[in-house]
Amino acid sequence: MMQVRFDSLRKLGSINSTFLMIAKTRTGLIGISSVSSIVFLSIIIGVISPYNPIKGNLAEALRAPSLSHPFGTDELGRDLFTRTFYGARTSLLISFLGAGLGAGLGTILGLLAGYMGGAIDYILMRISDALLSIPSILIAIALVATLGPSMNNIVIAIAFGLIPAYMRLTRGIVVQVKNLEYVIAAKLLGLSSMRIMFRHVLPNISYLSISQFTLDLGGAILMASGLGFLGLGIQPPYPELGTMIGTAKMYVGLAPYLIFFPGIVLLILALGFNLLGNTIRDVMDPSSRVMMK
Amino acid sequence: MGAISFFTKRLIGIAIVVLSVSIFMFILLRSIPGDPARLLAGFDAPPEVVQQIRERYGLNDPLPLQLAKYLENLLTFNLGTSVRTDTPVLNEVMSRLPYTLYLSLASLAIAIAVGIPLGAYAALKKDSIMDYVATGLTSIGTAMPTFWLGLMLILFFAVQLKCLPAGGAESASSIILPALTLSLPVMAPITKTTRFTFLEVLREDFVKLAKAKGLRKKTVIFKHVLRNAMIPVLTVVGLQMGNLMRGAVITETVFAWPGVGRLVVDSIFARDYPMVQGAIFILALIYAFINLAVDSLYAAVDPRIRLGGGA
Repeated sequence: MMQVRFDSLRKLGSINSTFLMIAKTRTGLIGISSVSSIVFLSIIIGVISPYNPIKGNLAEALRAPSLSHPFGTDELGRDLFTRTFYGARTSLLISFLGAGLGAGLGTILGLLAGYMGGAIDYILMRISDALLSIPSILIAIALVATLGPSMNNIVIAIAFGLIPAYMRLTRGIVVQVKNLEYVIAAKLLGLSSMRIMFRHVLPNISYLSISQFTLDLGGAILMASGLGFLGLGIQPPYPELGTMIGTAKMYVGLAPYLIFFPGIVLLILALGFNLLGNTIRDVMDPSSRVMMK
Repeated sequence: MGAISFFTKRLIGIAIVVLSVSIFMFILLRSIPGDPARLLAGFDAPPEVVQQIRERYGLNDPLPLQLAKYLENLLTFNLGTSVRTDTPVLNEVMSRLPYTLYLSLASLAIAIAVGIPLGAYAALKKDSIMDYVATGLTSIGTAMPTFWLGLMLILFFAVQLKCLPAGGAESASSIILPALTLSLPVMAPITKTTRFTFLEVLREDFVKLAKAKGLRKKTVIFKHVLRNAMIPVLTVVGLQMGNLMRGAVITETVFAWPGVGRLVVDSIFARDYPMVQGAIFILALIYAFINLAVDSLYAAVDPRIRLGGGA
């Protein structure tokens, strides 16, 4: 079993070969191309679009899609194509930060719990049990509703829901790894626990969290946009895909394209991240490959 | 370990969960920047009202005493009164709860009724068109933003075809669109697991033996494959409670469905903090008890699962 893990570790070590293995599968290719095309568009949108995402021209309000406005214009006369990709940029940023914070904190706490054991382990794992037993949407809503819908609070709200899963994942593998020769050797050399944990154990187990992180990005982007749709995400006039759909919902009969286009971009992003995450997990952990058959 | 100690252990677990939810909410409410009494009263309230609220909620007491009072109130289900309507929070939440349960059960029923046969058929006819449909539905269902799907269904059925209501709960057909919307994210994992488990069971020796014995295909599928595939499928159905709850909050908002999820969202915008707290408390409590029920169900279905073992 450990042999398998080190194999996957080697694959992670060479980024090039990991990338090749992902691109070789059909789902991996679809995932990479859909995510990267939207990421690319949302990076260059400021260069390719002549329109301002926040200031509009009221005379141009609620225009149907046309050559000059490929996605149409919204109720304030802003170009929807421009807003959609600025919005995708915001959604991507929030979900990366939220999932990253959750993965990082969860991994460190799980590492501490697994390596230290004893009372620290017990307390940390009970906290993780408590967090797991509350649906993450309720935690997120409660956090954002009381602390206010700022970017920081939304990121924290998303991270909160993800922390316990990473704690369990990391603790589980650390408990196995800490009895391996290289850890015992490091201990005999008299290295400090901190140094062993972060310089020796962490690099050898981080592949687990990294592959889980890509799997969680799709969920994080849905959570961020869901909060936005409820009015608890990034506040207008700043564009975020969920927030845009939320403010456009009253125009569902009048201007359905206001809802259709941001939603399609959101769906493609979430789908792309899910396909990519599944492929990365399969490539890095061959034992899960049966699921593909 | 016997059934009684299993339930005792789980009930203690629920008590810990409820306690941590309450303390979490308490800390949250106290960490709001500014004065909680002013928040509860509303920003334009006169100072006497703020003072009155401060006394009523005991906000002048030291924090540990406040926490103790707060927990005592929760223990007796005294969830306070709504700032907006001045009615007891518990009554309002309880009057909304049947709508949320109705919506969740309807969605779960659709998800099971479509997901299990579709997953099973996809496994039996692997690599057929239906198999691709099932796999595609699984991927799209997991990635679908619920609120967008809901709005698209409203656009098609309520605005274009005008055959179903766009929202509310007035007519009997009002449930159709919200239940369809909420069923998709639940259907996806059920279909995926059914397909995967069926493929596993179909490879087992006892299935090969049953086929070799010359049993009819129907008998093999229903008596041998289906029964053995049910445990993982049931597990996944049980794990959908979190999905359902997240979907319910959003779906109820899209369709103006008068459930607890929409109550939470409306109360947030009305700055009705006691209502938000109370509703989230009740939802977390129900979630914990449903999970207990699901765990007990496994034990009833599968005698190999010993109560109290493992988790």
